[in-house]
Amino acid sequence: MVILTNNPKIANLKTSEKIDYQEVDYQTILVIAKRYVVEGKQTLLIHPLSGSIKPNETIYKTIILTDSEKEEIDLESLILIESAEAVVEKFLNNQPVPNWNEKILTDFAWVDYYIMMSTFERIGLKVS
Amino acid sequence: MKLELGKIMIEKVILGTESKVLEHTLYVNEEKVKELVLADERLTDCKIEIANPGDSIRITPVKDVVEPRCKVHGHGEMFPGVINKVSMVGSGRTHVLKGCGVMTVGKIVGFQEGIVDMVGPGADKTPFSNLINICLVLEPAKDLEPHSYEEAARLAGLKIGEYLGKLGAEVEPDEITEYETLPLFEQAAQHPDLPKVGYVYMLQTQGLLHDTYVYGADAKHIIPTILYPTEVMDGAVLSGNCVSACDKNTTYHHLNNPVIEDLYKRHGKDLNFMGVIITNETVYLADKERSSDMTSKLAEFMGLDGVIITQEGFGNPDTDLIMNCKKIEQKGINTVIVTDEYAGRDGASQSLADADKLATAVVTGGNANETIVLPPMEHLIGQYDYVDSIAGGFDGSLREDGSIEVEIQAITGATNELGFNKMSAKGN
Repeated sequence: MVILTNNPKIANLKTSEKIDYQEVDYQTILVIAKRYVVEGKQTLLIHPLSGSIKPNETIYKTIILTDSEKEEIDLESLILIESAEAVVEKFLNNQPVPNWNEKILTDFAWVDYYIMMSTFERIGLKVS
Repeated sequence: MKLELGKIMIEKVILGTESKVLEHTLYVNEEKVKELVLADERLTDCKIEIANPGDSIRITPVKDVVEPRCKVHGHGEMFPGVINKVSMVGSGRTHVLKGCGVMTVGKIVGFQEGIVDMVGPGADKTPFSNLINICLVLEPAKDLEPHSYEEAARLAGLKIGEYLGKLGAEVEPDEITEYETLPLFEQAAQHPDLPKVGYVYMLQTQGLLHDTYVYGADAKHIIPTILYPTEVMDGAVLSGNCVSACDKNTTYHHLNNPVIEDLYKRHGKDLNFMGVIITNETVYLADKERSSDMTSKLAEFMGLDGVIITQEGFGNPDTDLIMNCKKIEQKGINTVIVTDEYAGRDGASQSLADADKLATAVVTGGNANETIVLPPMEHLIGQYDYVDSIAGGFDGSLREDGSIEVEIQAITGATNELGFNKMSAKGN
């Protein structure tokens, strides 16, 4: 399993799974996730648009994928990630991400963290 | 299961030293309410303010709204599994203080709670401007984490909703409405010539700060199941989230779900309302498959001819919405989906994050990206700290004169996906 994230609160979690922490923006996390799906033949385990904070509001995104390489690209994962890319582009064209202060960025990081902690529990993944 | 809902019309709310309902006036003992709220050590202060329809008042950040209700006869107590013991509700008689709401106010996380204006163009976008709002402005203990604050605020709203609701226990209601759904086979036999219609009720369950509770159970862990519609009216389903204000289902929405209300109105006339299937909207894709498999199986199991599906939120839940729609349609059952749209400020962009050719009938609650200028108000309940960062706000949203330019997604209930909002379009 690969936990791909740009959220520092996720980066420091202790788990036996691989955490791929990248200091990039939300859109680039989707690009990297797509690379995992296309080149690594890996499957998305969670929806790429998790959370209710819109992609032109939050800067943080965490995505979980399988680490098992299949023979072929998982088409459902590809469709989901490409749809998510289109949604993010639409939102950013509508209104760019404001220049948030540290307090708000911390809140955004918390929300992504909370959603992921609940998701780890659903998946049965132990993290601390 | 049969429920009588006794509506007691409240025309005035007065803060004072005693609590009672007399001649359509709700008297609220301010100190008692504070004492109940502050019994939770996670909250350090609770200011109580009343906002009446037509007042020049802005309330923000609004977290939840609870309608005061109490069980008068029948099994169980209001809000079971959360502030009362787990026990089946939905039968007997429940009294409602109609026309008012308990509104919890406070910045749980800085950017998600909404705005309610009691007058002006913003008021036209939210049904809560029609209520007398009993606002509980809550202050958390220092360094309280957001999810603990959310829980404390949620429990405060429910406790006061029940406390005030109980003041109506002995009052003769102005209006009594009876709702009844029979066990499945009996219900099907009651109107054998009418189409059997069910309701798939999707609940926001993406994780902490994005949750909904069913009899106290965190709904992201449930397998879809069937409820009698009247269970919802007694508080079996409760909001526990801080998602975008415009399309969040507050507890008030759950208690007054208009899909349930309207299906009952047409029950026995042109359709046979069979019941409610509740399901979730998790982040884990395997859960989405499992839950949509189950909703379609239950719709088939109930022998439904048609299903209305409502969602809560945008993005991730759109996938659940479309999966539910597709799988139910594939069973040969007609569906109508109810959603809202994020179609850009000009309304020209793709509205949802997912789509399918089987989704041929859709009702929209409106475009959340539509912008609005909210004029200054004379009085503020809550605080402005986060208006720039509220969902739908942007840099410079709060102007020097106190007016705010925002997308309507910042307004509580503006594009509600149960259809509990004010926007509509009518054909000739």
